[in-house]
Amino acid sequence: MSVLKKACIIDDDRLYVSLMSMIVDKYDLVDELVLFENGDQALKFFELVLKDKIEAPQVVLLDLNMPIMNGWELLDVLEDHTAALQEKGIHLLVVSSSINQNEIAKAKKHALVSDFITKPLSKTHLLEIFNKISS
Amino acid sequence: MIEKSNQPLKKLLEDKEYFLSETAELTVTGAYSGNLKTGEGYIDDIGRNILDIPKNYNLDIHSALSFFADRKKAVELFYSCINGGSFVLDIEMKDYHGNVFWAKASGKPLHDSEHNIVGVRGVFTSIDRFVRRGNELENRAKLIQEQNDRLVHFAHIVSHNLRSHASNLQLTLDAFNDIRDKGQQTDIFFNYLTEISNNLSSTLEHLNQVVTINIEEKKVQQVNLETIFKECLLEFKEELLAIDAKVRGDFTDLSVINYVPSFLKNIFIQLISNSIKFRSRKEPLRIKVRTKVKNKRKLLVFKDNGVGIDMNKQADYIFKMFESTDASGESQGIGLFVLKNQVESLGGDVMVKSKLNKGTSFTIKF
Repeated sequence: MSVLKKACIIDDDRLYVSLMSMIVDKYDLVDELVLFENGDQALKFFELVLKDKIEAPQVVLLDLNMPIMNGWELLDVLEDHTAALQEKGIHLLVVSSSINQNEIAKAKKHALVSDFITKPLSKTHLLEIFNKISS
Repeated sequence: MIEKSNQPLKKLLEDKEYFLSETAELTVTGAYSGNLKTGEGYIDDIGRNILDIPKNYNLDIHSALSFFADRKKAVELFYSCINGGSFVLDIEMKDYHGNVFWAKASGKPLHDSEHNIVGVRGVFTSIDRFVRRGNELENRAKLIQEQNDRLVHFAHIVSHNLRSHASNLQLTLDAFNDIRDKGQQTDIFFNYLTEISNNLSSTLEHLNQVVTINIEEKKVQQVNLETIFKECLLEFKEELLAIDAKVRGDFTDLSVINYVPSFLKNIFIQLISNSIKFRSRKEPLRIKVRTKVKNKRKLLVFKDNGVGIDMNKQADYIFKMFESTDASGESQGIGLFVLKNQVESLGGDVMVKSKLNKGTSFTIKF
């Protein structure tokens, strides 16, 4: 049995996403991994989640710098639904290569964000996150 | 007899006139007056020169207005004087040929012999040079600010993008490590790649430190120099013990300053690690730290008895990034570069005195 049922990665860096998928598969971290390349794609997914048409992921790894709709913009749209999303057991983590302290502080303060992780997200760290959320 | 008794007064008046005309000439200050009752205007030779007015040009109260870029404003100013007011201000004027320039001008009521206000009089001088220079400086400062903003932005983009690649490389190697068959020839290449990846990540880490110095929020607060110094020493406790180093601190002259605590900590850490790195192999390391106040400047002097620096050869390299100051070629890294940037970003300065084989003394001006 996997550690978690469903997880979601929103990131435009394909290499990073492939590597994450590889690790997730290898350690059997989730049953279902959902991938999005930008905030816009993810937003449609969250709309369906909010309408209970799709099962909510337990963990969301969100990048900040993305084309079309970036992480900040997605967070702004989702902010109004913070309570509903948290009720569904969603843990949203921002995963970015930003080291800008202002950006990090801003992300951590956001109601929907449970943590900020600076890339590279190592295998060990990823395992820790998934295990923590499952317990 | 009468003439004689008037001698001192005459002398005084002559002196006064002499000084006035000298001042006017030196500062190129022209004088003017305008009588509303008679319509007459007067302007002295210096004033005529400033405005480049031909000798035969007849100035009256109306034509005088044409020497102002903003005629309406000039009328207002003159009327304020006629109503008993006065002015001193910077105003745009126009010379005889229509060239606009900045002038400093004054105006006061002109009285007739019965003390009635009949017009305006005052002086004016061209300040065009200074105003233009000021504007030019302002524009340059703006340009520099914009360039700086762009550089910071650029540095961010670069460091961000590079970080993404470096972190993917790390992850890839991480994943590769899981599946590779150990003991194969590929081991060597795997190790090389890992080393490259580590070096790349650490170089980026250093670059990011530099990038963030100037955008980090600098929270200045009261800090105790000795407390922070002792905290930093603790980090080197074992190392210092192992090499039998002796460290003395004297903070009696200045014990508390307003500073960014993390910066001060980094200053001490860099200086201590620098002293350890470049210690003499002939005698145990001695470090002496003391604070001073000299001409109201707050100073920290950090001295060691290390190998020292050949100031003739290496002075330019001490605070540069990734330059080696060590004969063995050991890299100095970016420690002192970051230190200097931090000190300077708070308006301070760092100075070095050193003699080869005698030791080095860093002075931080807070």
